[in-house]
Amino acid sequence: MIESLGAGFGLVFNLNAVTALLVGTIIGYVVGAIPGLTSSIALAVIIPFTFKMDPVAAIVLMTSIYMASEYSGAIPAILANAPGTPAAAPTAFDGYPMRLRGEAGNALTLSILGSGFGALLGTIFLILSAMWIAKVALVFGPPEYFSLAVLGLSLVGVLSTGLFLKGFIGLLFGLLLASIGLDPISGNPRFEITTAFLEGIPLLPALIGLFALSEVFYMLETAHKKAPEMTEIPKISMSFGLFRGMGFTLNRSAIIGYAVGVVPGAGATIAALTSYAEEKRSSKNPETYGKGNPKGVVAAETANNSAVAGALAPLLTLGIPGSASTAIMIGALMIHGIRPGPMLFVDQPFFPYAIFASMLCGIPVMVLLGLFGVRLWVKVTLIPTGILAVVVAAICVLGAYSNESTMYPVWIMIAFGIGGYLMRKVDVHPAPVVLALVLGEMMETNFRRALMGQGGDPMVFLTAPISAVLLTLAVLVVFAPFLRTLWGRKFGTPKTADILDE
Amino acid sequence: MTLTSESQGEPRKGLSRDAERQWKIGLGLAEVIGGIAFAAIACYFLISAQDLPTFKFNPADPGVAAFPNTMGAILLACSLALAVIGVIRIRRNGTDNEPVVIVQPLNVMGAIAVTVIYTLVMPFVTYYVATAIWVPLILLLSSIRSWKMIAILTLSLLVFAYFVFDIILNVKLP
Repeated sequence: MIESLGAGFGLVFNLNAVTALLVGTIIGYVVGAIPGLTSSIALAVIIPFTFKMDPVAAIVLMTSIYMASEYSGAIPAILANAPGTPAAAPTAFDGYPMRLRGEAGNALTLSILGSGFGALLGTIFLILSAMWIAKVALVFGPPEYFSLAVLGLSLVGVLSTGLFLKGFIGLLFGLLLASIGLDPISGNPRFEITTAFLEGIPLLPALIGLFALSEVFYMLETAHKKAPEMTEIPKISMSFGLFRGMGFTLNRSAIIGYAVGVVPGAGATIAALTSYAEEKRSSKNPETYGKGNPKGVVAAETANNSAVAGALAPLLTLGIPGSASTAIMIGALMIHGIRPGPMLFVDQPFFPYAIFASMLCGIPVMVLLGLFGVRLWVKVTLIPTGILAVVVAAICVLGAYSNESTMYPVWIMIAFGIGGYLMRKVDVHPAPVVLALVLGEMMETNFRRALMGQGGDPMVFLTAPISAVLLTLAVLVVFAPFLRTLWGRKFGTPKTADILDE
Repeated sequence: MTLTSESQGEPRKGLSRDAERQWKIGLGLAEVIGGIAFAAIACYFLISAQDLPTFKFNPADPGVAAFPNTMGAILLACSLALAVIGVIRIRRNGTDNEPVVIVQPLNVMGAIAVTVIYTLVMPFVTYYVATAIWVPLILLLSSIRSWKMIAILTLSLLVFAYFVFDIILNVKLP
């Protein structure tokens, strides 16, 4: 492992990867600091810029964006009570009251250093656990891969908003779209309205349309409104003394963050909420939370950054995305000819370790940029929404066109952009559609291969032990929200939301 | 569908003083429309799948049409269920409850229309000419009224596209 990590560092210490790391961290900071822009949008838009990059630099760029955006969401959360990302919402609970007390500098210092600690511990956990998970997954055959795809798709309940049925409809729609093109087993064409459809729905324009262009239309709805005021630029104290007595909070939050992040679909937002709720529940003074308790800021920020490392574990080792952002990252890797999963650790072992090395190198960059760039990030949040909308829209068009240098992907991007906007209006989130586009072929191909290998016996999925476990997990993931509600009703267990509501 | 208009507070410098317009449609009605739309998509796939070849190299293979047929049938059932939920919601709460709101609908629809026209004409007038018209229009629809800002941003985007895509990434724009 040490050898592989050394090789990973060797790959990262070159001009391309270091530049990608710096640029990615800056883009991530800008995106996270602007309420409304998320890492998913930034990742979808950045993919075309990676075409000419080598795959290591491309993934370093995307990982840096993902990590930095999760941190910088805390800046507007603390300064204007307007979280830049959903995961920064719990940071605002105590960060904003601290700012009202005139302690904005302390709150920002705690959030930056807490984020750095969470990201560091999360990355160490990732390095230690990834190889182990990948080794287990090496014995997978078609039944296990089918069940793995089902487990990935079962996350629809977590990724969708509102009614579960709507998320499920989005998933089925995505699976039907994934079936367009050549049949993966026989090579027969399916649903080819034009010859361009023979290669299936191109993933990149679909991603850009669903996540970025649909967001542009949303931005136009609020472009006439004022941005949150953040005229006061705080001074950063940079004092480690602020963390006195918070060692346990830091470590527990990082562990909670990583554990929640590893669970596919849970993500940084749930990690931050869980950590904050646990911190408040176990405190001797729970009434001080929500009124500017520094431990609340540390708990939320440490956990949401540790969760980013956790979310990369299922992505790299099993090839299943745990969030909208990681689904886009899988799509980007596939465009670069790399299929994440256990074989990645066998065929291209340098690749995951280069990612780990880049994360370890990126943490000090992220912390330093956070500490010394506060003035800039505050100003970034003042950019009018209308300008952001037109910049994102223009890059969407350029990105889609550059995919094949034809107008066809641009039309696909516009169709998915309009479709994504309308779907979000009726609470059908685009994430399940992307999940299906990424995992659809894997599911169908391995289902059919498994049946052909067993003479058509469907029981193969239940008699293969790992496959049975994965399918059971998938059922549990689907029914988890319902089971949690039933458990709460019967035993009165306080839910995270209840603790946060108090 | 209802159209409402509300006045806003003091707009930011350079932004319009347009009143906020909204299109509201009851959630129940939106669910009925969404359910019917997805049911139509499912029907398209189910009907088209009937023309797919039935020949199999391996008799244990479920075949080319099995996956889309299964997914299409489940999507059809779920879409109809969504439409029924929408009807129940309308009967319980009427059409105005829990509305789905599109704020500044003319701006959004205008941006969609302008973007579609932009994509249509781009191959004929070149990327740069089409973009030089499209960007100011989208900015105007985004309530940006400062001509100085519009000119600077349009020029910046064109220069960015030329250097990054045409020169560095070697993408030949139309």
